[in-house]
Amino acid sequence: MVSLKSTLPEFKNINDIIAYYSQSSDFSNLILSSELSLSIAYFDSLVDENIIHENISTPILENLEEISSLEEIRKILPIKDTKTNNNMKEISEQVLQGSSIIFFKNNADTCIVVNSLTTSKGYREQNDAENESSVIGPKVGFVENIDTNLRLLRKSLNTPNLKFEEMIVGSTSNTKVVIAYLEGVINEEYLNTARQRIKELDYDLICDSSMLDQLITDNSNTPFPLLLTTERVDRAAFCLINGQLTILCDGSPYAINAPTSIFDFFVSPEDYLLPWVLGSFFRMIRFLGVMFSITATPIYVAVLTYHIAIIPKDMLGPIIDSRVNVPFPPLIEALFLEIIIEFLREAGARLPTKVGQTLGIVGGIVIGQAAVEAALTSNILLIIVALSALASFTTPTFKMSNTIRFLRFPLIILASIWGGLGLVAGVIVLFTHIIRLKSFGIPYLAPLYPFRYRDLTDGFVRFPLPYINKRRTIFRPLILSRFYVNGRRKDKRDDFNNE
Amino acid sequence: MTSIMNKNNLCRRFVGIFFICIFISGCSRTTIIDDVKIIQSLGYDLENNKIKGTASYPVYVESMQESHPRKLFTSESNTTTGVYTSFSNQTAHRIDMSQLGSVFFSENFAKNGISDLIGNLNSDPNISSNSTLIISSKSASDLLEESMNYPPYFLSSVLDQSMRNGNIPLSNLHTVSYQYYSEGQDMYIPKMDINEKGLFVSEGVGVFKDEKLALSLNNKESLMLKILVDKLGFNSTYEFTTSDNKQLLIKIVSNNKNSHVQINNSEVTYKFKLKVYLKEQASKLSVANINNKLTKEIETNIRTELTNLLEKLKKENVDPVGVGELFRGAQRDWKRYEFYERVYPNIKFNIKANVNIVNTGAAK
Amino acid sequence: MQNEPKESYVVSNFFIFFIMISSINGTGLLGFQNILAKNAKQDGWIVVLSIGISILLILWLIYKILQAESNDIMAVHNDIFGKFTGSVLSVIISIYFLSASIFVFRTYLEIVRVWAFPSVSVIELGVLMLLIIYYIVSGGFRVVTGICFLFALIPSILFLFSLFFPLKFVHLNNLSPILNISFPDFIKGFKESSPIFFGFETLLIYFPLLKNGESSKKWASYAIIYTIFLFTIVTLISFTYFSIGQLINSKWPTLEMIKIIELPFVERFDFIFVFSWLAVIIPTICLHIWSVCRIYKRLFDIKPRISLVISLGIVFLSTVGIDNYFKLEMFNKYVYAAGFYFVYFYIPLIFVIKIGRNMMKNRLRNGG
Repeated sequence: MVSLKSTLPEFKNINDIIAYYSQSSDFSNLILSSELSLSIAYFDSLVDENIIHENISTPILENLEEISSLEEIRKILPIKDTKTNNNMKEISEQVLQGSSIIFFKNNADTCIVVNSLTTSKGYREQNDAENESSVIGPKVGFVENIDTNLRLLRKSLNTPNLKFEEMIVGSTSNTKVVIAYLEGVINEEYLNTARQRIKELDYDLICDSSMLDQLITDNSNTPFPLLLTTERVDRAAFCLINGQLTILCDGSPYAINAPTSIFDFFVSPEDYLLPWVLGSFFRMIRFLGVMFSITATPIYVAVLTYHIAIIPKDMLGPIIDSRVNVPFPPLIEALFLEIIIEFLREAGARLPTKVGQTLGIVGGIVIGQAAVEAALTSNILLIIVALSALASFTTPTFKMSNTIRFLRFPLIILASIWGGLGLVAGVIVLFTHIIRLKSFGIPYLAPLYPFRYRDLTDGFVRFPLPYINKRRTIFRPLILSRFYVNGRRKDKRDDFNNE
Repeated sequence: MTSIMNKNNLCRRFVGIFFICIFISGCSRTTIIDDVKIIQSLGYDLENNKIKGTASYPVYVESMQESHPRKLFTSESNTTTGVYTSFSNQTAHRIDMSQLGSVFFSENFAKNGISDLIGNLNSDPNISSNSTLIISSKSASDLLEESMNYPPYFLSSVLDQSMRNGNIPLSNLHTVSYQYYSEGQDMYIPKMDINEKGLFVSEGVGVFKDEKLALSLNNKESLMLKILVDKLGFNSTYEFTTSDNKQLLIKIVSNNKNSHVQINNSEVTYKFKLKVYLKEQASKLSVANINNKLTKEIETNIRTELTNLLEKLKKENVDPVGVGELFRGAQRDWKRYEFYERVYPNIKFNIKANVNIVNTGAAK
Repeated sequence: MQNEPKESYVVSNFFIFFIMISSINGTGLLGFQNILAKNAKQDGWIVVLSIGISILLILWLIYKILQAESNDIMAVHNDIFGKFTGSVLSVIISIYFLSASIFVFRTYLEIVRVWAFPSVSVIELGVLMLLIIYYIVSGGFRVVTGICFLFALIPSILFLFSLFFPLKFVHLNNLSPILNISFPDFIKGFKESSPIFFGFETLLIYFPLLKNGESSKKWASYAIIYTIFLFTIVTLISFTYFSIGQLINSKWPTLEMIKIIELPFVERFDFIFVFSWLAVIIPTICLHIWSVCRIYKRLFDIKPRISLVISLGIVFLSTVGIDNYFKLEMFNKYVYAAGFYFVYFYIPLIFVIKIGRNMMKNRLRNGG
């Protein structure tokens, strides 16, 4: 097997590297002093010009007389992140990571490697969590720059227990990947799994953490996301607190959290910011939305194709009325509308924001109305399909809401073949599939099966915060308690008698 | 690597089998809602020893119409299910019975025995237990013909209304089959008629001996039957004349029945606690009157009416009240034949009615 | 023949509650009143109650039989009868489990055909359901347990919603006179109705896969008590809702009873009931078929995948073979009889033999 790496020539000295890299137009090789044959080389595209100018070239040029060896140069340089290196392979890699090298042309075996990577070039400044927005609570999200992301994490979990572990993946992209975890809380098992899976990974271009997600997931033949990707800092911090690990990937504003259970995908940070009654209510609304979204259209198809008896007598008239001119069976009708909605969604995602909004309205109202008037679909179905599309967007994580939208299609087909029986059969297969899934070796349906009643304090219902003082047992954390509740806070005053 | 290969093969096999299933299934079994004739009511008549069946169904032609024209199938056959066959010969669509609201049959048909009909209705799981059986005083086809002028399910809602707020005891396919298969009770089925103005009126119930119609009860008697057999859902009005010849209308709102059997003396005691509303203006009557005299009078009146009904039923040897059931529950060696031959004709009924006038309306 | 499964295949004790409920569930709950009414008349609930209590006793016997050194029926057989005879007996038991699953499977298909899809072919529905069963059972015992756990309480939930409605039509007088049943009738009713509780004997196979076998007894008994409660409630309500004649004349009285429910948004609840029941019978069948595969794996080391495909093939062929209701009735009779003798004669017999052997051993040991 020929890999891209093996096409690189073998570098004998630094001049070889310079010669090879100079083929690329963004590579600079400047001579600082022709007397000493002192040179500096770097990729323009990667380095911060200011660092080169202020911290490297100026001090060297000012003290040119005193210099005779590399060690002396190192002493002169005002920055710490320098290293003398003579390993050509390492040098060639570090240049690619944004370092600049200082060397004597006539002694091209060793050089000083100075980290001069730019931290601002090419990155967006703004870091709003746009795709997982919340009305209240912090809106800060990750950005493409991994250093910024690490800083954000470190700031929200300011403890020495938070450890970052750096790795390089992608044989061509050489992307920096960081595993973050809380030492003393996380079970070593998952950490090893993550390390091993990332290490064994062989893929050339890792351009986003979602790709990494697919490459290290337990089972890729499933519509369900097994690892939780998030752009919210608070969500990642919450996962870390619970004994999960977070994988950050350079160039990606999304962090991967693992291991996960299916219920994690229905948790919104807002659940914890609102009073527990409201938080629980909204969470249950979300589960209701999922059920509705998956089953509403299949039920329509099943009932209208096979089970007329189920329809109440008073609704019989309106339903038949709305369908009487539609020439297709309910299956075609439903698929037609569902696919229109998917078109709209897909187009909305591709188009610029403002055009997308307009298109949504045009599509939703005009196309829907026209389809009903042209007797392509019934208006009752239109309502059902629109509502179930709406309900699918209540899921707070994007990947899961995609999954939920997908799931109804097989169910629609099953319902059209075997009616209610097909629908129930589909649901059974769905549950079996979820039971068989695992995320980093943890059962995907976790607090429900295997049953952990203690974890349910933060499952379907969110209990008041003092009651969620235990980490999820399913993640087998090393320390179970998050904090200790010493006596509930009580109002000492008697409410009935205060004057 | 091999395991992945296996998995792929397996997946392919699954998908293959799935598509084969779709092929096998075809689409002949679908009953798409607008491609079936949804029968709303069925009617049975007896003509020249042949069963004449009539069925009404709605026709949907244009969308969003106020009311739908409905049509009738008619056909003749020797059996009650035989009529379906010729219904389906008359239409391009499949016949669907699952929304059947009511089944009518004429008195003639009922006198000839309805065990066949009940058996067939029960054996079809599509037919709801809540659908009603109705005896029509005119021929069933006339009744259905007339009902074409009304909204769908009008007949069953008229009956439903009179069961809830009127004098008809609760009756549907389930209760009728219950009584039919029960050893110690006879069937009763509500009756319906069209008056001169073409309006539907419920007029009492028909009482069966075994499977044949034996006796008809008028509205007042059927209210008494309702008091005797129904447990819930009382909202019936009852009119009676007081001793000083005043017409009074009362409304029975609740009924607490308690029955007791004395086998040795062949004696049955029914105790009723009725709560009633006085619908008449209360100022006509003094408080003392209401408390003592009027209450007594209503009690006596109801008692005599109930006794009369029970005696009438006894005389005709029909038992829609379920006296036989009471005896069966109390006697370990109860025999149906023996009871109705020997015990029932000589039974003695004791009735204790306790009336409580709860309210006299808003006017004082 | 020591039998210690890997730690990762073991499920916790608590799940036996759901496994046991699921293994008893089946099509029985939909139509057991028919036979009961024929034999016991208004005293049906007493018969159900006494069957339940007898099942508790048998459960106790099973726990006595399965002890540490031989913790499933195959090991017990080998222990008592030697390798050859023991294996033959185990194979016979596997045939019983297989036919029990065929019975549940075929009966459900019959109900679906009569109730909802008169024109659908058994072949087609059979293939659909067998694919599901394959998918579940091939996932191993943990997946089967998971399915049992998720769907075990479906009947209770359905009944909780639906049993209120028939109460309007209940005649309490139907239950009197109490204890009017003659002893022969009682025995006949007991014998013919006892199969409604069968399926719990799969415990003989999956016992080693429980984390702490001995202490699972508590949960198993709760499961049986719970089932007794459920069956008795359903019996009481259906015997007061229907007259005896009506019960004798209908095939699936529970469904008939549900037909009375009329809600503003659902006219007929019984359809929902029939379809949801798929989620009730699938765990039952899966558990039985898993037991069959387990027996062959333990006896002859046959790979579960192979035995699973073969048993599903047999289920499919027999389902197609039973092509009318009368054959189904015949088949039911044989399965019922087999189950009756297995539970009420064979298990006590094994128990007696085992106790006898233990006493002999002890005497020998003490003597020597």
